[in-house]
Amino acid sequence: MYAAGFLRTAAAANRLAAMERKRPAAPGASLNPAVATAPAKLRSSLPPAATHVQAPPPAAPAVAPVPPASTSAPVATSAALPVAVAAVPTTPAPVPAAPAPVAVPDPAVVLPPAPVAPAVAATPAAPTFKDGIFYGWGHCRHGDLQASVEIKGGKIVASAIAQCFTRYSQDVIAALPPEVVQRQSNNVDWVSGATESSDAFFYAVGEALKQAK
Amino acid sequence: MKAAGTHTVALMGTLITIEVSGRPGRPPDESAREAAMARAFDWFRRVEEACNRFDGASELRRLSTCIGTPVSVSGLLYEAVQFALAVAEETGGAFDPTIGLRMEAAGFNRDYRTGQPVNTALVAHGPVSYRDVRLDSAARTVTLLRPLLLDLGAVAKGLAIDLAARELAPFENFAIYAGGDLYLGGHNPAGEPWSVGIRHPREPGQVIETLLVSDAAVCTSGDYERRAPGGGPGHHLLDPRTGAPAAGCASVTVVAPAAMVADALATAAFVLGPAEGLSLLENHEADGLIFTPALERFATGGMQDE
Repeated sequence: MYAAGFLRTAAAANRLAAMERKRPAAPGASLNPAVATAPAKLRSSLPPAATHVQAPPPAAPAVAPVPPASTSAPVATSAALPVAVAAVPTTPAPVPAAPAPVAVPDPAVVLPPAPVAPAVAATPAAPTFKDGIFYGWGHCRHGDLQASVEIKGGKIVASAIAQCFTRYSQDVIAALPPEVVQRQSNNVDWVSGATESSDAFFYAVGEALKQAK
Repeated sequence: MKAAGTHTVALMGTLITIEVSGRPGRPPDESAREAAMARAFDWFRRVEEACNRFDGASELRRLSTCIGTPVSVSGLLYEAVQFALAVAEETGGAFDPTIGLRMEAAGFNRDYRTGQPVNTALVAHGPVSYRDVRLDSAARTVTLLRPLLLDLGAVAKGLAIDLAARELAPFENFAIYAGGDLYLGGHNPAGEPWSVGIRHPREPGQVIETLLVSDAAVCTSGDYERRAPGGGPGHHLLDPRTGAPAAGCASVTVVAPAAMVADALATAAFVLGPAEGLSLLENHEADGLIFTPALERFATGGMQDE
């Protein structure tokens, strides 16, 4: 086993946190501590060479969502977005101050047993579908999974994994819904690897959409 | 052991799992935990809406319809572009977010939500690079000097992980898993540092080495997933300087305080190859572990034997 230098990275993180505290709050700077600090962290983690990354006061990431697709006016795509309001220092308030990520009221996100939640907000352009929730199966080397696709107003509003019958395999352990996995027999908590391409999920969604036509 | 709160959602082209075990000895405040997890997932959704190369309605795609004009963008997109350009400059273009059209031409163009190919109808006029993108931090605008499509795939997921981690920080002990990339807060439910296996790049189902981490991100770039369509030799990690798949590494794992840093550095080091990649990581005070296709091992000084 290798200790992944986490002492070293922890020290670096503390240093960054200290820098963060010293950083003066810029007028009109970020309102949301979450957005304000995460990017700042990596700004400071770059060497001085990348000065333009460190130079500006915390560029306030507006936490507003992108306006709907209809505003395809090319210039100033975010003109309609709420502008960052007053500066709030990096108090670790768990609740963001302003137009923060809204705790999604949709209970599907927090369904305890099934790993189901809305997946996407935006929609692909072309075909329209019948409204409803449709299911399709996908198969991959790890086993089978069932995707659900929810259609409203002819567009995909959510897609999720409805069921997963996956043979246990260590390389995908962390990607599997917890009911399937439960850390059985392996001796690591998680596995880091190149991004899985979720082909089975694509396929299952495609099958579900066939039924929606 | 049943983890206290765990949810999995399909977002950003992969599966995202968040586990919050919370502080030991305290009764869990389930509603606060569930609300924080919902906010955490929502960051993935927001970053995807801003940075998705496959969605014609995303802010990134709308940006690529404006050439030669400063475009005012959201903070999320600005941060992602700014960071990607900084890494591009650092690496002399071994990392380059303007590679979108070449990715599309190489067949990496499927929208994961529908499985359908997406083509932007943008036409490249000769080679482009990160030097063709200008930023104005005061006005928060991005200007594309030539027709190009940004690909923020090596940055956006890390940014979303970092934002999600901020939401979960009050719970101390938590894990965010996003298709092979991780942020591990605090300790595992057994009270020990999280153990993270690195997937073996050549033996499916095997772990090649195990790391112990706490309050850090672990991101891996590898040549064994997201292969080119048609069963060709290619994978998705193209060298922007040549347009060909980078060949020097099979797997690059980076441990850093922030996932956006770890994610981008892993991709950049993968393209640079083991020797240069390792010095890149050391220059950025990140720890890393590189395996070549022959499974030769390279590690930064911070990766010590326990």
